[in-house]
Amino acid sequence: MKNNNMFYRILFKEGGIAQFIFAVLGSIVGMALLLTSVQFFIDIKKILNENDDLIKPDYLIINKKISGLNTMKLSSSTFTEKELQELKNQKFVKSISPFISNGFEVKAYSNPGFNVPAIYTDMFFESLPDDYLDIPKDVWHWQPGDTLVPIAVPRDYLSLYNFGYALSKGMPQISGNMISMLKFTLTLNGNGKSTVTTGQIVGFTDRINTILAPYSFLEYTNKELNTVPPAASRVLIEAKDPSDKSIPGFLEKNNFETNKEKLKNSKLNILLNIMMSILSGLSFTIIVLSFMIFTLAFQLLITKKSDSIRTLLYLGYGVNDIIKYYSGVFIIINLIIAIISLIVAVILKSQFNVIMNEFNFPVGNEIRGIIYLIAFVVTLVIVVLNIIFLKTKISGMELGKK
Amino acid sequence: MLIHFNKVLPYPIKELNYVNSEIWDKNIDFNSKEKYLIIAPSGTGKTTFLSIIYGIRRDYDGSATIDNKNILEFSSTELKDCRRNRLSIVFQGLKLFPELTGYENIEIKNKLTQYYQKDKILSLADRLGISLLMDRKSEILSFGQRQRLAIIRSLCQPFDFLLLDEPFSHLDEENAKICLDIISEECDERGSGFILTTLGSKYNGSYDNKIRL
Repeated sequence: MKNNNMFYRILFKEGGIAQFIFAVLGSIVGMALLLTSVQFFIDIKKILNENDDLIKPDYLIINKKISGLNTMKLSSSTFTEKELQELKNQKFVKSISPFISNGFEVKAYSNPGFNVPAIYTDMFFESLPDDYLDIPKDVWHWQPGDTLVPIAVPRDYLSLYNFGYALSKGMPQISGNMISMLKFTLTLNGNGKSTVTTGQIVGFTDRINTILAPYSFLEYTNKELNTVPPAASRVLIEAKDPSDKSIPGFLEKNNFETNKEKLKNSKLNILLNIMMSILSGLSFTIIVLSFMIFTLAFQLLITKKSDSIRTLLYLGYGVNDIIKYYSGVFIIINLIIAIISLIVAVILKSQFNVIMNEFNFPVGNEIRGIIYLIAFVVTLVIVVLNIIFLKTKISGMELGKK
Repeated sequence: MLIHFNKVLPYPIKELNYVNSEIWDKNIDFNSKEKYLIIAPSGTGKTTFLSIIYGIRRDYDGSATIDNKNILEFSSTELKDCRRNRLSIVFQGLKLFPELTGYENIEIKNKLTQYYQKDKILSLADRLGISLLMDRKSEILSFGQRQRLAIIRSLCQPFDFLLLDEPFSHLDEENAKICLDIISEECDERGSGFILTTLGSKYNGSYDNKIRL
């Protein structure tokens, strides 16, 4: 202990401790930022690439453009048989499926008991064959006799309620998970007949603004209540290649519109990539800078202490004895930097999870292995570089070089 | 140990008049059984001479060998071994650690070699009249006091040759004599020699060789 104290005084004391502290703080900031941005990048990337929508991303949904003529009922926004046939014959189309909807009247009542206001509303349903929907079969099924109708609504509805309606009325906000627990009563009327059943929201969709119910439910109920559904106003197209360049021209010519979400999504993806690259680049720059300061502080120390080091060598101490002493301290400092940075990154990650969960994004709690790997590799590189530097410098001193 | 200088001529000496030198650009041996006094006016290369032997200076023509091995070819390990067991030195600038106390300055060498017990170090300090200074930081000691510290430190190891670079320059005659006596005793005990450089004074010592640099 006493010997270590002697070496501390010879090799470290008054060797620029202030620079060291700043360098260490800088390194922690840089490292924590790097780890955090990589972690965020992976998380956000996963969310963007995850298709949590009910409709598979390769499908296009088209409808007619609504104009003043539609409003005046001079032109129809629904597709005629002829138009559907024409669509089907297009080269880029693999298959089409018009949406079917309800010909009967739907009223929905919220069930009392939950901490939500009593709501009554008129509703409508649309549907597509199950094959076109990306939703697990165990929740998305209905057959005659079932008392529960699974329903999917646009995610926007939840936002409308949470951020518009609930806030202004002082009502509780509800999460996606919570709403899935709610059941509500549906009364279905048509041609003097009426039936009551229960509805439950089982999923959300971002890509189409409609309320979806199982195909079998709509088909059966339309028949049961003897109602004729209106002609389809939206058609799902399974394209051979959704990026086919002839599609936009065809749509334009026929006055059709398609859902642009996919396009938007990919734009968002690109923007996010750019932002995250900039953030990663920045944090990498900070890391490089702070480690440069660190290395400079270390070099300053060695330079300041070069007389002492040289004297130790002249007394018969080996180059490796001195390297061992310095690198021991150096490794400890860098381990501390790595550990603190990891702790900071973990804390930021948990904060990030809280925010993401508020917006209903599924983010795993796990810390990515790559984070540890990056921390380890960066630390290793810095330590090795500095030990090499140290060895070169001290070996030179052994031979009396200035 | 046999140190051999074969036409050694350091670059800085080339520009000076070294014709009368018995070392520079000459062939000369130093045998570790003997005591050498090197007499040299200032600027003739005393420190350079000892640094060449100690493996610190490399800027010279000719060759210097220790037991037939060129000093410039000593490996890191050989240098370390040499400095622990075969050559000891008192630098002109002493090279003490100002941050350490008098005793610690000696201990940092002795812990490498375990050559002396603590009481031996203290008794040497006592003989040299610096025992009361052992707990003080060396930076507050006078140069003469520090010279005596450095001499004790240089004795804390086995050696064939002790190199002394004007070690008594700041000592009075009496203290210089005591130092020289101790050095001679220690060398005799080890069967070793020393090389002592001086500006001119012979410190009333007995030497086997007196050489002019």
